[in-house]
Amino acid sequence: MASITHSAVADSHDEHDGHPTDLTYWKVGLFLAVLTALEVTTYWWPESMRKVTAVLLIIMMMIKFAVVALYFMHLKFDAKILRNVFAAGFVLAVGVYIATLGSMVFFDNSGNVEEVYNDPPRSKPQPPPSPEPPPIIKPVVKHG
Amino acid sequence: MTDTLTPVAHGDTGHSEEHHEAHPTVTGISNEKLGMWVFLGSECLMFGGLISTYMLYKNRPGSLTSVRGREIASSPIRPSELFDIPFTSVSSFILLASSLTMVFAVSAANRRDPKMMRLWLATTAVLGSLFVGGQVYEFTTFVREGLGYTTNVASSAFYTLTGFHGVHVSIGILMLVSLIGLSLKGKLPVARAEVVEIIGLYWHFVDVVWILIFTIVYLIP
Repeated sequence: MASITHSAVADSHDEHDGHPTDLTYWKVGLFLAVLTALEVTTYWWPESMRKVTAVLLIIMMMIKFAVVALYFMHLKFDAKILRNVFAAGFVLAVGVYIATLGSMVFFDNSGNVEEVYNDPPRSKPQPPPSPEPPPIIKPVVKHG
Repeated sequence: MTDTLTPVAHGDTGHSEEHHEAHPTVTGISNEKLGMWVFLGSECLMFGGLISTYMLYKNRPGSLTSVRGREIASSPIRPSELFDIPFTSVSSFILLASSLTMVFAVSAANRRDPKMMRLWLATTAVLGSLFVGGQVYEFTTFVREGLGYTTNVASSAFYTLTGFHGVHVSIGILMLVSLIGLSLKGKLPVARAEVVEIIGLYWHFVDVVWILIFTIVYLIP
């Protein structure tokens, strides 16, 4: 039966199986917290910086995603095949949904949602009723 | 200390360790771990679909119609009009912190420290529960404001996306509690310590998905 001694526990704090140490995890956690705090502050940024804010938020989101996947999920230290499996699913998902959103005129959203994205009519529009009934045209019968 | 991630060292524990001895695989990775990664890859597609649906409908609430074409509900209110960013930010910090406590649980399991492992797992479960509680509170507030699941298409897309995520967190909490229970009962030998890592992967994935949802749904104007 295997047993654990104090020295073994102390050694495992430093590095085990190429995985990061607890101190590294604390640093990564702190970095993620700071990045999240920065993200939250964008809520109070002026309206005029809307486009810049959106770009910055997407960049910060991608960094957070990568850091969690690489360090917390150990993708940086584990076998390459795991990275490929996850990356394949993720890239496929992003590609498929960007194509889908593109085909649904997502990129034309200029902000005038009421004009651009009116809901389609649920019934076929009918012509307005005319005030008088249409004249009845009798077929001309030629008598020989 | 024993060779189990449990406080009890029974004679049959070593036997169960032998029984659970991992078989070598071609990839050198256990089938369970590879299976979890494949599952997470497929989850990317599911959440991608839900996020895309929300992005398509968030600015056009429209109306919901029945199968026969009858209008069920129609309200111009959008989920984004009701967002409480400071509150959701606190929830995000809580979920992020739970990811940190989860890596400490995995770390403790790797160094065969059952007490610390259970402590970190319990902390993770508590933080996860706080997050789910916050989501329930948020949903309740929205419903009181008049935004129900069937109020309009945008609300349906929002509740489906965030609700699915909440269900994932809840399942994760159940798995964490199960791990603690297994450890206390002496059914989590060292040879099976990888189970903690696999459940940790699931938990981190849930956190990663929330990173996307929080930015795309809540923060991007």
